[in-house]
Amino acid sequence: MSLPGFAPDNTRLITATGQGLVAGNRLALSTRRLPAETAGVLLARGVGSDRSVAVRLVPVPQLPEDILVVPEQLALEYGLAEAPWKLRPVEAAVPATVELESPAELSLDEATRRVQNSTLLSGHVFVHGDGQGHADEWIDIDGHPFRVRSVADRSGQALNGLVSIGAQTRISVFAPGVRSAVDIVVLADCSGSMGANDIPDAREGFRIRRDLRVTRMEALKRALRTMIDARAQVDGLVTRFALVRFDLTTQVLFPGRDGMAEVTTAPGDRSLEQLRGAVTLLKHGDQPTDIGKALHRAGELLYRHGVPDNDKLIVLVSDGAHWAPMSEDRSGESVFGTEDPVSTMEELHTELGIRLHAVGISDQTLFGRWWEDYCKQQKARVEPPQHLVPNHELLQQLTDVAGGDRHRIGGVEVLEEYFAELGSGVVRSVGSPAQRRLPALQLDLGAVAAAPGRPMVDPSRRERWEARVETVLGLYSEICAASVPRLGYALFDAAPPVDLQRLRRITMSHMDFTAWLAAADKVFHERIHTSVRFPKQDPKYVAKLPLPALAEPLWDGRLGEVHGLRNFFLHNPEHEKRTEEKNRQVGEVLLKHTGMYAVGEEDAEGWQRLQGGLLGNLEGMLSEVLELLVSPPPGQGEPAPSRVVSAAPAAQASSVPTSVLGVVQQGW
Amino acid sequence: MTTAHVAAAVPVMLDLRAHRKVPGSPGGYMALWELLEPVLVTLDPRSGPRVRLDLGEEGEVGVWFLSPATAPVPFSSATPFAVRGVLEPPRVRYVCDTCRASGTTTYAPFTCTGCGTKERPGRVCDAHAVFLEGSLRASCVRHEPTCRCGRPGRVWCGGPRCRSGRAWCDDHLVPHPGDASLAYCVDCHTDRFPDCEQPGCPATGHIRCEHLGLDDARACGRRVCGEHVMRWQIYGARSKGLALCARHHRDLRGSAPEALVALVVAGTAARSQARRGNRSGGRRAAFLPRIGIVRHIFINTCQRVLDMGAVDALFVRLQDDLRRRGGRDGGNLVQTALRLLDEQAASRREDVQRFRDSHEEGRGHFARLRTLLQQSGKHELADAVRFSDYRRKSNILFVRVPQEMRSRFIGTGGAVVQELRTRLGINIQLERE
Repeated sequence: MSLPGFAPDNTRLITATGQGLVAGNRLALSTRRLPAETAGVLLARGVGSDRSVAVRLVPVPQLPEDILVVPEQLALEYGLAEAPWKLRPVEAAVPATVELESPAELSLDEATRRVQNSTLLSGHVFVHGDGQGHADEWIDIDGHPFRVRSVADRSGQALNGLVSIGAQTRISVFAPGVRSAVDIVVLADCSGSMGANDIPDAREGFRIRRDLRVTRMEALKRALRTMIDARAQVDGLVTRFALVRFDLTTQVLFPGRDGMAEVTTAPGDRSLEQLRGAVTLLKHGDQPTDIGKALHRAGELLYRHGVPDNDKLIVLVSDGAHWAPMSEDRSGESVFGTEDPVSTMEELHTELGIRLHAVGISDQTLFGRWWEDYCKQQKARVEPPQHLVPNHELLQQLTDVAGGDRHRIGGVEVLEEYFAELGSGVVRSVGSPAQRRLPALQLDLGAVAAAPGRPMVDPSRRERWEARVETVLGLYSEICAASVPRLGYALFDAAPPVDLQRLRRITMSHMDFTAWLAAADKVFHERIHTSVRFPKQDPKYVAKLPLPALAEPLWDGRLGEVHGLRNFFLHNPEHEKRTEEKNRQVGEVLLKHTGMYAVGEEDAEGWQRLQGGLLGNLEGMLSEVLELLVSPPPGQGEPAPSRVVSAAPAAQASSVPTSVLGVVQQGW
Repeated sequence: MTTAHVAAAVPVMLDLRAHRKVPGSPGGYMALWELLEPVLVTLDPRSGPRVRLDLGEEGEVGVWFLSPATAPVPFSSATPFAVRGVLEPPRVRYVCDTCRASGTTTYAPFTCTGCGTKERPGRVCDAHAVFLEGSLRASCVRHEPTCRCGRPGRVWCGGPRCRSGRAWCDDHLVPHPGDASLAYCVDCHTDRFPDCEQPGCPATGHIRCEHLGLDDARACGRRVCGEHVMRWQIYGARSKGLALCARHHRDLRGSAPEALVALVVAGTAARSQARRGNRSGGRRAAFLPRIGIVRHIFINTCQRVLDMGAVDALFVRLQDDLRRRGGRDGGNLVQTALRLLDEQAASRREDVQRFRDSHEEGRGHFARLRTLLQQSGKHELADAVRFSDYRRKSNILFVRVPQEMRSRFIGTGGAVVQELRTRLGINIQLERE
């Protein structure tokens, strides 16, 4: 895609807050400059290093051509107000599958529901992986962070780089075993066909040889052992487990009695050992299978012996069964419930909420190769017995009616991968992301269109401003030097040069001002020495100060205004419920410096007045502090600060019980 | 944008939380204000909106200037003030009724319905609160919940009937089969773990018999487990059939086609009602089976072969009958049934037409069959054989042959019918009768 890039010289930046189209990493542009939605990369020049973020660019027809609307949070985080930036539309890969990890606070059901209903997932753009196989990307869904666990293309290969979730992308949710409460019954097919040794042996460290094969049963046992090893590493919520063998009949191999049991590594608990023993006992017989009956038994175990509120999962491992849907001619016949395994599973899912994962052992290719070798050995070409040919159609049907979760088919690697994962957690399929319209742009388009372009600063005003900042920085520097001999430490800890540099910027908008305010607070409030910090509850604070007179200039409210405004403007208003009182306090500060209770977003004059007022505060405060530091040490009986009046002694109070003895404190 | 305006009086709030002698009357407040005012008028509210004033042994009084920016500067003795609110010292509002009876005052975080009056709910403190397992509902010792037998309750039953609303003693609780820490009352336990109707079956009868007449208010509802339930496969291959208990399954065979149609419609209407607005958990919408399937339902259930027109007529008759009843006293089930029948009407017409077209062709094959039989001298057989059905797609001609002539029609080792198949180029099958 060769779309032009966007930068401050050809684009005005407007920020948006609150709910609406522009939020998270969604940015809005005019359709005249961006004909269709696309992914993009926003590059912000920082001090020392550049930072980039993947963004979703959404065209909005009525938006003026030179406007780019960005979420305020993103603008603040990347310092877009004070540093050059560049936006480039880029084509993103559309993954076939995306697996998200459920956050700790949500149950698997709730997490699945939220992902299913999320309107913002389709089209979401993010960067996956760092090229070294590490990925730590999170997607916010309804205020809950879902970690991106895997992103893959159609062939199952991991996708790295810029990706965009498409309408056809299949989403699944993984709940780690530590946090998921899922009871599991593994149904192990032990029919005669499980004795076929058509599974290539793929032990770690050995090259796969065509002639080295293991039986389907051996492959299953290995995979189950992998699951047990993985489960032994997880110490999560209380969950129960059962291993059931089945052919025409069913038998619970673990736990020893009929029912389900916890598998733990607690000292003295033999469950893990018993489960390993049960896996060893698995062996194929010579009978066909009755999958319906096995599903019924597994459902009974989960319903009667599972932890009451846990999720319930059947894992059916089989090389398949010969199954064909009932023909129309047989309509009106009556069948026993378990005769039709698909109906049985559908009933278990809809009525009892039980889900199913189906794992098909072997496949037509593996079997075909094995049978070919067998015929060569026998020096005869014969048709294979039908009961040995893997047939996974029934497994597909079963997973379809049971929630459409995992359906895996393959050899040792597929089985081991599935069961290792099952030991550490559970995956649930969500399907394609919901296709709904994005919310509307939360800004008033008329107001955006009417907004003036970025104004220029009068050079003489800039000069005066810079001179004032120089004075303040000079005072700051002198205080740092003078405080060491007088107090024994520097009154302000050293500030990074970038913050001092930011103080010189004259503000043109709300966003400029907040950036300046953040720097001013960092330099003068955040870095003030801890020994002179104002302990709100301590009435003896003044007496404790190494130079008590410092309390007056430091805490008379001038520095407090800088800090109070910083908290007000930089804290996310959505996360902090602003009280009416706080709004009023800020309004009063604004009124004092600008003559207005509120300043418009792009009112450069208003923000400059406020910036100037606060700089005046700082200048006055620093001058007084410096004067105190360089003046001779005070003698005995130095007067207390005039505005802070100590409470009268108790004896005096008791003599005049019904009168006001004085002002204890006045402040914010 | 907010604009400032000058208020007539300076609004303030009094904070008496640190004051030891909170006035109990308007007069008391007036006296207190007279003490405060002379000091307040000397202050500048822009130096800080909150002031704490020392009243010696009586503690402190806080005065909050609610709108310092609009206050006149400086205050004067003529400045009017308006007290907008008073913060008083905290007092225990929710007092434990049990403690109150013994003359003490204790904060009671829980409610006890037994202690309550019409005016206020009863309260109980943590020392006197009694909790039963199964719910965080509290009561005092005197009002401890009892089982219906009169003994003290031990557990709030969380089952589908009680929903943590009734307490039960140990004797009336049945433990969850897989979790000894959980118990239900007998009724709720039976609801959650119903017995299968098959004698001696240990499985849960979680499936209800769906047998239902259009006049019935409720389905049979007998409980059957997944293994012993009989599925009457009336929806073709892709949907599970109606669940029936053993008794209703036995009754099917002797039922007339009219009764079967009514049963199919009623069962489907009930499913449709249950699934409306709730498609979660893999539930699919319920539709009446097409009449081609219904024809097979008759063949396989009551061994009756009806042509499509006759099957359609059964539905039309039922529809007319329901409309008549629906106008008078038709309940929801009848309304749903009528909706389903209306939805099915178009497909019925299509099926009947297709069937007729197919039969035209089939009757041609049948005429050739009779000719062949006559040509081979089997005149009696040619007269007795009757046309039943023809499937164009599978090229099968179904014929009816009287029982006593069936062996002659088939021939030794199937030789006669095989010869006919070969010469006609179609598959000939005898209708099951």
